[in-house]
Amino acid sequence: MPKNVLVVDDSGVMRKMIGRSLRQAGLDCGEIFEGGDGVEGLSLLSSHPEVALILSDWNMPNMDGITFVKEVRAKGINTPIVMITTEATDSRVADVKAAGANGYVCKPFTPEALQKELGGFF
Amino acid sequence: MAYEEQIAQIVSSILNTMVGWQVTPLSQSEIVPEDPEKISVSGCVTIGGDWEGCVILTMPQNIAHESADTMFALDPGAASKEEVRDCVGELTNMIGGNFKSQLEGKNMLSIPSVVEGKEYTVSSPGLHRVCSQLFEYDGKNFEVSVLQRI
Repeated sequence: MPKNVLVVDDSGVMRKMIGRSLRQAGLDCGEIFEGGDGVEGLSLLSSHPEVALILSDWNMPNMDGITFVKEVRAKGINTPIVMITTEATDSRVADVKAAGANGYVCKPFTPEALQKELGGFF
Repeated sequence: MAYEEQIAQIVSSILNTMVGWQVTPLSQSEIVPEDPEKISVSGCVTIGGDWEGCVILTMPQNIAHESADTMFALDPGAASKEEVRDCVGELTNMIGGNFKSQLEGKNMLSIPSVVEGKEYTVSSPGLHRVCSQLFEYDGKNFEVSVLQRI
């Protein structure tokens, strides 16, 4: 059954590229919802609780990615969250996993890299 | 590793992976002067912490437009000005983020700013240009610069 995905990134082109890459990777996506920051991400999660996977950037205005992850977990939402970001140092990965993220994909990425990192969530 | 070498590797990888471009780093002797009347688009991210400075990507408008058409999967020339600015900002964010990941210490990356126009210079008080690497794509040049507080 196709899974709905929430993509949270302040760059419109990145949201489009992530959505396109998910489909190119052959992942069984249903609807892809797009939010421009953590605030929009939380709002979309409220209106679409059926979202089965969340992909989030780190650096965003209004509410950044790590705050977004903490807010989602504080609401008791256990939907898997994978960060897609340039913030790839070991300490940053450890920080965001401690906050409740389930995985990590570095930009730049290929559809194959997304398939490898995200395939287990579909 | 010198900043030029780091930037050359990072930029080549990002543009190949995200835009499908094969870009060539140029040496100073290969640089062809650009027409100052041409419109350029620049993205800038600042890095703060143990290392302080910024990374700037400057593209002629036609290359910036082509990158946006490709990244948004649009027909040639179809990207809007906003989509072009978004693309240049995101490319700058990726270049700056990957550069930051190779720096020592604890550092933070800003959200990208984008400017567009003719005959402008991007500068910041106290920052010095420590790297200016030009690239060639399809017969056109673009530049990535690194400014650092020294």
